[in-house]
Amino acid sequence: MLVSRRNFLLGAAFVTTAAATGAVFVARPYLAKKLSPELDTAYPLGILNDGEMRTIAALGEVLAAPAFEPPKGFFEDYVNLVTQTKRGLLKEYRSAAELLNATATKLFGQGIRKTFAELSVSARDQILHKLLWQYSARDRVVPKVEKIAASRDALALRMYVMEPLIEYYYRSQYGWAVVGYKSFPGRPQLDPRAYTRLPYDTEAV
Amino acid sequence: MKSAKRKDIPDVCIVGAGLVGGLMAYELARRGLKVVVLEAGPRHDPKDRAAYMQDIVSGRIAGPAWTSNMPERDVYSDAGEVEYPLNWLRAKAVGGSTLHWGGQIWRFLESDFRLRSLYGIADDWPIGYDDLEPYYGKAERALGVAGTVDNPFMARRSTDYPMPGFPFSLADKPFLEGCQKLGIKVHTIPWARNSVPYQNRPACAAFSTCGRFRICPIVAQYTAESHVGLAEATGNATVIANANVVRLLTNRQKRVTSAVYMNGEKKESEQKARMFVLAAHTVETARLLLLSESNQFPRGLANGSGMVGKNFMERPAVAVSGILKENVFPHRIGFPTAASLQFCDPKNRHEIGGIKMAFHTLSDPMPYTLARASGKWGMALAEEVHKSFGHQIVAEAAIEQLPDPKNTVTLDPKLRDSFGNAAPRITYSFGPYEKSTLEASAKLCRKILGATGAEEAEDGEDHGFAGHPMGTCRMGNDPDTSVVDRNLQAHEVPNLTIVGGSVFVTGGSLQPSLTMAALAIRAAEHIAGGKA
Repeated sequence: MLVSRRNFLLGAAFVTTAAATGAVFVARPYLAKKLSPELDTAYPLGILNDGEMRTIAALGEVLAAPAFEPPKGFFEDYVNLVTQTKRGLLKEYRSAAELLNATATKLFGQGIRKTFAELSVSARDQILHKLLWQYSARDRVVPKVEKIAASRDALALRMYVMEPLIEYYYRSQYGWAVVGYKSFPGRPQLDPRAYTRLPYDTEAV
Repeated sequence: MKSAKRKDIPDVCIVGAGLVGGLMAYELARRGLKVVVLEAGPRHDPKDRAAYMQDIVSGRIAGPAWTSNMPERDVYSDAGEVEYPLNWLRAKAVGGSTLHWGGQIWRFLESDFRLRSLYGIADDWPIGYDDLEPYYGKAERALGVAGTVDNPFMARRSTDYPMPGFPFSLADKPFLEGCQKLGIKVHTIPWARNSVPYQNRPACAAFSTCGRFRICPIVAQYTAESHVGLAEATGNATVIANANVVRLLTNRQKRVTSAVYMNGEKKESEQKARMFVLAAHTVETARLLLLSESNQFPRGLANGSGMVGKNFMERPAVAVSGILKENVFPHRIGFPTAASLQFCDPKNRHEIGGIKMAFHTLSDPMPYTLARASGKWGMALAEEVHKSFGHQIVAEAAIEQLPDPKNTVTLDPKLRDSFGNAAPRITYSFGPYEKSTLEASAKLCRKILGATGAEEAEDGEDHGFAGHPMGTCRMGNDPDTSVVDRNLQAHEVPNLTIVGGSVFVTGGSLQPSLTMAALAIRAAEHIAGGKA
């Protein structure tokens, strides 16, 4: 019995779809774990060691706007607070430091161990690009691609370390300076009626 | 010995140290009455507020501690079609909900008291605007209201605002221009927030944290802690914090004799008094009455009419946001400065309820929200945040909800709080009136946004709440259909007064706080026998 070309193609499409569905079904627990890395809440609270903290502070320098760098100790204060108060975060910060240092060695070490913190900001930026993608808030495709393509540790780096550090920075005076504000929620206006006029520092960036 | 003990019994026990509890305490104590205030929550020191604000602004803590700080104590259940976020909207502490309120403070319209007479719907209040007008003035002076008389929709007023109002913000400009095109009158907003130093509190310094973060570090915005402090300063008032009143006991003469309360360690105590005032939030007031059932009051205290807990109301709200091409430089003051009451008393109010329009230019996204939503970092992120910030505006409508006996606060048959008492069960739904009004509101918001030139970002399909629970112990002349009389005295219990939003007959579309305050001052005058 001969199989028509049409039936052959239909059959092939069916088999391919079934195989893909099966693969997704089998890989579902793994995918779920990878796409949304969960915190290990059994991990103890505590603080990073000096080397780990240097790595995270160096990461903070890459995340901040170059024109509005916060003073030394800015990110450290925040990290010390959250790793001592929210279970699982200490482990993620440690993994992040390890991942960044390992990637630093791989990309820039030339056989010798390199730490993320000893590299230039530009080199550190390259490391982040190696691990993750940059995308705008409106982008609907790249975040999904990143979720599939990036490693679990890289996704956890974004989710549990980079995003909170970025938020912390943009809540501060340095983040408000990015949008041209010297006075912002939490800091009073020199003139309480300034809100009725254009701000005088709109050209700050 | 017996008479000495009787002498120690205070004149009045007030349950709740929020807006109306604090005001009542002061109004009674300054007239020489001995007052004890029982407050379920703790007492926060206003001196801690600045550091507290910094923690909230920086994200080091999630939000104010006064929002349901004891979840097991504050359990409740939802049984209606519409979920009611009770714990998000209330605060248990000295100061009550004024610790996190917006502070927008309007008089009701004359028509809000007469819906039955004017439109054939709901019921009239047993008092009218004219009865309350002098007390509105007293309440404005007590709380410290900054306002401008630029609103053609308000009823007559016999007194000036005690402080000058806050002018329009730069960010209001698109709304002012858009509404002008549509023939909609926009005016300023009265606020319980100092525009100049007033009553030992400083003027607003535009920290811009009162709206988004719900905290004023310098207490330029009124909180009921002011009147609690003033009451104590008379030497006639005592405030007991962390006192969760669980039952009111009565005697054979159907008078309340004492309030039973539990502290955090679940130790039971009893507070006697000659008179009692319930100022414990719309939901808790009804619940406490229902919990206080006895042989004389088998359906709950003061509930012979069966009206306790019925006609629960809110101010449902919709918001539509849009994106403008220009930056309106928001977040340089923490509260909106423009509104319109043009739709609060529509001609077809028998079909569509009042709609109060407010224009927000301090909504999200904040720089940190934009930054977190982006997948960029460093310079690329800074450029995106700078470009995106300041373009969003929001038209928000809060609407009138009619009283409906099916919307209730009852006792949950199974759920118990941490003291072992029945938790409140809220059965809440929208009727056709509210649904039509919400639909009309969203349409109006979209129309106004369109006139500003904004590109619509969110369509206003979802509703929210303004956080103003009302009803459950309505006032009225008829003891068969109401819980308290025109002076807020319980029909069935001669020494029990109920104050707060719970006594409202109808809700209107405007914020209820000033009406609550005016009614409380009036009730205090009545309790004190008309003594000024």
